Amino acid sequence: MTVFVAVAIVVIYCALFYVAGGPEQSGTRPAAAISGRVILYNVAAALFLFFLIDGVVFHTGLYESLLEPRSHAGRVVALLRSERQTPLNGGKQILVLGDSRMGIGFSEEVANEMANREGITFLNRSMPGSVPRLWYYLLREIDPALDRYQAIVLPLKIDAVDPRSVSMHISQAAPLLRYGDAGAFAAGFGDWSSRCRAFTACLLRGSAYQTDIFDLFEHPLRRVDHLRHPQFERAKFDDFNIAGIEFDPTTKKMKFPKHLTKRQRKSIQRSAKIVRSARCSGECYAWTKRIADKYDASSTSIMVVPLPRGPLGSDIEQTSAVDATGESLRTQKVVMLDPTQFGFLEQPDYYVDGFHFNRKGQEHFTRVLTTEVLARLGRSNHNQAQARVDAPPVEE
Amino acid sequence: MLFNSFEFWIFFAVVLAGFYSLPYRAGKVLLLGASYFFYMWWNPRLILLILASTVVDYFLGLWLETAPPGRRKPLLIVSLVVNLGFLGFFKYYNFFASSLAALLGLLDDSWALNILLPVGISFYTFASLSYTIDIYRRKTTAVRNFIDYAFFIAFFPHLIAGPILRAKQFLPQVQQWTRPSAATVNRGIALILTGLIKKTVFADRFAIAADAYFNNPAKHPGWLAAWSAALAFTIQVYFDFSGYTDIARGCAKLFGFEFPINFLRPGLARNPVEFWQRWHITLSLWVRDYLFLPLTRHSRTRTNIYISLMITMLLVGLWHGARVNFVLWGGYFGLLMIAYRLVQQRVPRALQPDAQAARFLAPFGIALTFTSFVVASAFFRSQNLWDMTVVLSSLFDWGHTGKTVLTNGLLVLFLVAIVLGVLEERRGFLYRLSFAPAYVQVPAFVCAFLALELFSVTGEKIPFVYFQF
Repeated sequence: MTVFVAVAIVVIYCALFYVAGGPEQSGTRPAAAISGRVILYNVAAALFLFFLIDGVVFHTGLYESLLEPRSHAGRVVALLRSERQTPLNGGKQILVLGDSRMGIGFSEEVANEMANREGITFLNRSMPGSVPRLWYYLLREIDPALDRYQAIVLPLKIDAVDPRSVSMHISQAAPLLRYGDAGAFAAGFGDWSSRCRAFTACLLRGSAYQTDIFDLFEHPLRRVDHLRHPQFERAKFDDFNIAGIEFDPTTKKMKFPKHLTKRQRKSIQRSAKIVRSARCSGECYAWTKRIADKYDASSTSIMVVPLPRGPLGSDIEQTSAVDATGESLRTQKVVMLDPTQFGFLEQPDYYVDGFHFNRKGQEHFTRVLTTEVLARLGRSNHNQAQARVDAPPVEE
Repeated sequence: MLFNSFEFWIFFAVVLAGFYSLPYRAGKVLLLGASYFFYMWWNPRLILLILASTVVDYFLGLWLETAPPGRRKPLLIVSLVVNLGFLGFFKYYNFFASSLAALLGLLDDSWALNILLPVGISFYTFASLSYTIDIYRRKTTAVRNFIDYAFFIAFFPHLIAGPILRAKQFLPQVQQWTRPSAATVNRGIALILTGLIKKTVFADRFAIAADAYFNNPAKHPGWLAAWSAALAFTIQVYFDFSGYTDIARGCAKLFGFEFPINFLRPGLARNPVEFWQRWHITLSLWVRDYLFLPLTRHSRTRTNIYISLMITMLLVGLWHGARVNFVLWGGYFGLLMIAYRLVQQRVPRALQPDAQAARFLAPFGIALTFTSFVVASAFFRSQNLWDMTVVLSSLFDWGHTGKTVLTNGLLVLFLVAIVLGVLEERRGFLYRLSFAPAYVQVPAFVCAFLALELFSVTGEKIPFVYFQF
């Protein structure tokens, strides 16, 4: 350290000594008058090269191999890789997508144990902080032929996308975006500034990785280590619960037990706020609808789960906006799971904070959801078989 | 509509295209309208203030020019009262009211009003004042065309945070406008890119570190934390403000107008006097011409010069904002300048170094001046007096080390800044780049685009520091 400081002082002294000599008289004259056309060519050439470099580095997967594996974008890249390498299970896979609530709340192990007899595999590919927009682009990449999964289970997100997390949403989706997505992807954001950034991220993907690039610049060795040992932190939960909260629905006042951390308290307050102002955000609804429309002509069922409304859900009056949104999504193809099935989970005993289940909550939620999905699938298979039987014979 | 926002560049492109597609006179009116629109983006009501100031000074300028000698002074006083009245009321009323209330033992907000600070009021008020004062002094003539005068006050690149224009420099350009040469356009583009890099790559990165400390200095004890945060803020404020000026100058060049230089690498100044010849130059020259020189005109004694210098610097501090911190900041620089002058005068001629020795000693002078600039962050950035004392005591709390707020990446950026600053100072490479051949210019532009794409901070909207003044 001392040596480093000494070297730095000497270098800085030399630099300042060099400066103290005053401005150098340039031996070269400014070039002869530059024409407007030359400037135009220079700027155009620079822009072309700039786009080319960005395309080569960021659109060919070159930089994706250096992405921090624990970042949002890094997880998406890892998921893409692993999904592409996973062999098909004869169309008997059920994909579960969602954000951290689904990631923590749904246990692949418990579900697969239950579905083992029927030869069905549940794959929980939920991503923390993700929204239906990301699921849409993710499905486009991992299931281009729309035949990989027997069913896709999606939660019905009711909270609007937080404008403070726009950067995260853009960088998370960046590995999935193509040049042609610029318009549609950008249009999905709420304000002009975010739209411009989203648009730019499609054309210049490097701009979506600013945080990642600066992190690489700051900690290159740590990045190498993480790339060598990409240990994904599984969604964590424990036996902790937040029982003991008192909530007065009339005054909207909450009283927390002493052992709750500040973060837990904030998260519980936020969850209550979201439930109170419950409305399915336009963005989330539109992208869920797009997923449903995409799979409309395929054999894959889309199942939408209205997640339990949080530890205080049963105490809070909710508008019928969510039910109405759910209804509007329901088509012949989209199965809307019954929210009352999960009503018993809207108790503090099942939560670790305002949004996420603890172990007990996870167990119950997974069992109910798996049973419901399997039952619906069975019914759907039965209906399809029935439809084939009832169909008029084809004349030869 | 910040210079580093998409909205601004869409606005700029539309206005630029409109300006060049119209004849100059119509284009000028369009630019004036666009400038008012730009200002109204923040708060439409505040346009009334700038219009009032413009109308008053336009007519006062005409009267001042033709008025008999006995009536000239009252007219100038009217201009001063109106302009400083607006500035004083909108910017300083609450400060003085709360100070007086505190003195009388009342609650701080006893006489406080809910006043919105008009963006850029300090800048356009000074521009407007210089116009009437210069006419009074017969250093310039009154402009006949109202549009020209209104354009001088409101032209959007300088409206919010300078540089502070002088009528005698700018109005002739408006009256005898010529289409910018290709070299000027090239230089304008280079300046805009440089300014954007300064703001989004350097200033905003250091802002994150500085904010982490200064938002709650008591949470980060120790000298290392305080010095690193003060250094972070020093770098932030320089790159932020000089970046803004570069963008403003670049935009003006693309329209065919020339703004004065506002920064000349102040971090490389060898003493506090030179520092103020390199930092916010247009403000330094303004206070020199309209404040310091009039104060010292009647008596050139050392004592009077020092007192005038101190008054000037205290007012420079107050110009920045209605807070005691800023006044102390000005006073701190006043003291440094007086101390420097005293030392300079006391050293016998025989002991003064020759040119060669001066060059060897120069790095120490630069380091000392820069360090004193870093210490000034404690006054400038702290949110209140209590925080300021916490930061100042932490800076010299040698018994407690604490943790640096500068990450490795920021240290590397700092070194990059030093290298670029040194090269620019010695070789003027940014200036020469505008005239360089394509094989130099194209890669330089590509590097600038890549720096902006990959290293700028776009996730958080960090406003320009000087917008608040």
